[in-house]
Amino acid sequence: MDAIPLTPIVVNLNDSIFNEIVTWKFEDEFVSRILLNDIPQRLKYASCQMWAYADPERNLVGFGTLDVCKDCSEFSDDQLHTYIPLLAVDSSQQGRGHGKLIVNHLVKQAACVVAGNKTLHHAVFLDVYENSTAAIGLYTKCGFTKLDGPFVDSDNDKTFLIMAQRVTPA
Amino acid sequence: MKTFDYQQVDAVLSPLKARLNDCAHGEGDQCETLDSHLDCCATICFQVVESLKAWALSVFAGEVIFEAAVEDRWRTEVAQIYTRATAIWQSGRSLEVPCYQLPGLNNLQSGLWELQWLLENWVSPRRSVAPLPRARMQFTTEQKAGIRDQLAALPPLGLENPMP
Repeated sequence: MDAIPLTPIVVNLNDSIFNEIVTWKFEDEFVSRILLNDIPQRLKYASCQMWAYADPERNLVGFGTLDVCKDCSEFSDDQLHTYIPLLAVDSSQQGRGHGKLIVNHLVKQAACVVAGNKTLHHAVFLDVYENSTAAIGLYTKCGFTKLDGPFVDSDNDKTFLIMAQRVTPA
Repeated sequence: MKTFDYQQVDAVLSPLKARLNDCAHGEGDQCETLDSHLDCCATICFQVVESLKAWALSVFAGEVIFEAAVEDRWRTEVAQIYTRATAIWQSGRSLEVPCYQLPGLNNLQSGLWELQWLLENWVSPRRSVAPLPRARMQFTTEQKAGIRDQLAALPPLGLENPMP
């Protein structure tokens, strides 16, 4: 089955779409916590961009974020790099291939950012808890490779992976 | 984790405020023309923005303890600087026609926009929920070389583009 095409819409902090997305319920409460705590800070104080994704009926089905930061500087030789802090599909819209389209859009945006700034590292990074097998499967299907790890989150003793994908052409 | 008290906020902002006053009054070595005064003010606005962001991101990364009193100090001081810089921009704007060309006015407007962006819908810095910003990964030289090899071996980006 072909994936339903999605239209990306730029989301700004505290605009109506952002305020709608933060009311969504997610199976993993960690998504809501990052969305409420981390994403506003990244949008305000860092270089984060956020998109919502609408299906052809103009229903919002998911969102994605992309930052330029040094969170993976140990992996990027201390270079600034692109990083995907969070993406999610509305729980009522899962299983329709939206996640793959969202990841591909974020990777393409990262490629544009890197193409426009040669000082950035050539990979886009993300982090994911090791027990999020569905998410790891999605990222792997979208071309991400697991880097060295896992690492332990000292806050909860959960282990997380760092994955990366090159965003420059051959 | 380190602390960052309101006196440290003052230590960061006081020299910038003093320079802003110098620039606004046409004093100081750098500001010999109106345009350079405006440009000087713009530079200070950008430095204030960077200082505030650096503090917020240190809190986010778990390097600095969040203190409400410090946050209040930042908000109050940055709002005062914004008000002062806005007045300088307005006086520059009123002289734009006789001065013919004031590129510094545009720079100052950009600086004001950045300050306004930070002040409006203020976001209180908090320690990150996601693990990566807080992680303190230490690698040996060999591990770093291995990571570099892994990253160098990543396949190039494909040309598939399913999103409009």
